[in-house]
Amino acid sequence: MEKTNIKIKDLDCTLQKVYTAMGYGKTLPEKPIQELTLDLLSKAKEVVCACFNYQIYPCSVLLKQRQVELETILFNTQRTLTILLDKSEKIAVFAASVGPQFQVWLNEEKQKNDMIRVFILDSLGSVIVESVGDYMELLLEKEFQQLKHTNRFSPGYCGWDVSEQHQLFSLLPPAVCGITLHESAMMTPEKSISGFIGMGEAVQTKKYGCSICTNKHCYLRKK
Amino acid sequence: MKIYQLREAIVKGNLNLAIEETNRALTDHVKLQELINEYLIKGMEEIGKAFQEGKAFVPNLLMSARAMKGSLDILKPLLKEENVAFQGRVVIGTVKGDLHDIGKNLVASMLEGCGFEVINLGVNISDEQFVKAIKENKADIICMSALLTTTMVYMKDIIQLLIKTGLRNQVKVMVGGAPVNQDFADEIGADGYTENANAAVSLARSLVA
Repeated sequence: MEKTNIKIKDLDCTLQKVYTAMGYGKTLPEKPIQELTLDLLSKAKEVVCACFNYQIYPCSVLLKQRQVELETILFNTQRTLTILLDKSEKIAVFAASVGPQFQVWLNEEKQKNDMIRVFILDSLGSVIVESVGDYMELLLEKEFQQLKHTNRFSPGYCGWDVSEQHQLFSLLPPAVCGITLHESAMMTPEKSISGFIGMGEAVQTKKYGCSICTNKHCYLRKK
Repeated sequence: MKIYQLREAIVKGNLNLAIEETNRALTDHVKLQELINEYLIKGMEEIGKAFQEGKAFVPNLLMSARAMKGSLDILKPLLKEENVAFQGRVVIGTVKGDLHDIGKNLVASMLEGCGFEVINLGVNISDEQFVKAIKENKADIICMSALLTTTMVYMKDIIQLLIKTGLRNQVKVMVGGAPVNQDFADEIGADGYTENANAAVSLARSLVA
């Protein structure tokens, strides 16, 4: 399934989420920062034209080998993620992005070298793309109501080597969501996500908790 | 003795007040070194401490750095006249293959705000580009950033080229980025690693002390 032209109004993208992404817990930023964040969010409502795409594949989860096989391609998902994907009958291979217009805007702000604006916009972009991921999951649930599903898992996390992005993208349409995958496995627009969602009748939706994740710098990490 | 609100301006990140108070202090012939040590650096230390304690956040740091830079921009020409030394000269960049720059630019802003001269090379920087910039600018520190496990390994190549070109003993090497940690820094022979921009300033200061 592919959905394009997703606007902020379609997403659960709140100011509080942006503040959290900026490092504020339950504390609210000072007024000037609040006003600037609100201003950037308002502009984002005009600029953002997000997209997601997922493709469904039958899969074999090889617990012992710590691998997942899709279309004869082996993914070394490592111990933690392979366990979390256990009992998946199918996997939704997905990509989502805030869209190229947001990247243009972010680049323009970077050129101006006002790091406060850039930092807030970067945080905002992270929240938007994760909200696109949440929105995608809701539609996936609607399409496969009879199946349970796991959380989203991405290369680069929990030992799954980020270089496997290349074979992941081979299972998606070319230039999916306007994303360019670089040799280093980096995606542009920067605010793009990709990964697997396991689906099956016996799948357990375990929390992709911070306790099992090695990314200590994740903005969503619970302290 | 007149009281200046310069330290408070830095702590609160109030650029206009910082500029105003800097000019007022200069009119009163306050010594440059006193302005820097007793007001600017103290202000940055206070906001840095608040950040470390979870009482201030990245935007606060950036606002303070901006206020300090505003003040330093006024002082710079005078500093040259009086031969007052800057903290040091830093060459910073995101390594080849990697286009991420937010973290690197945060560190650059903080270093600049705290009195370092910063040469920001940008992203996707090769070992030769780093070496050329170090030579041209006589840098004291090189800061390398990477956000991907696939690109952070390139930091080792850069250090190897520093050794090969005889520059390694002249420049301190700092590394950072989400997948980087102290073990990795030790493994590739860097002089230091920090996990945030505030800590990077402290480390940079200690490396050039």
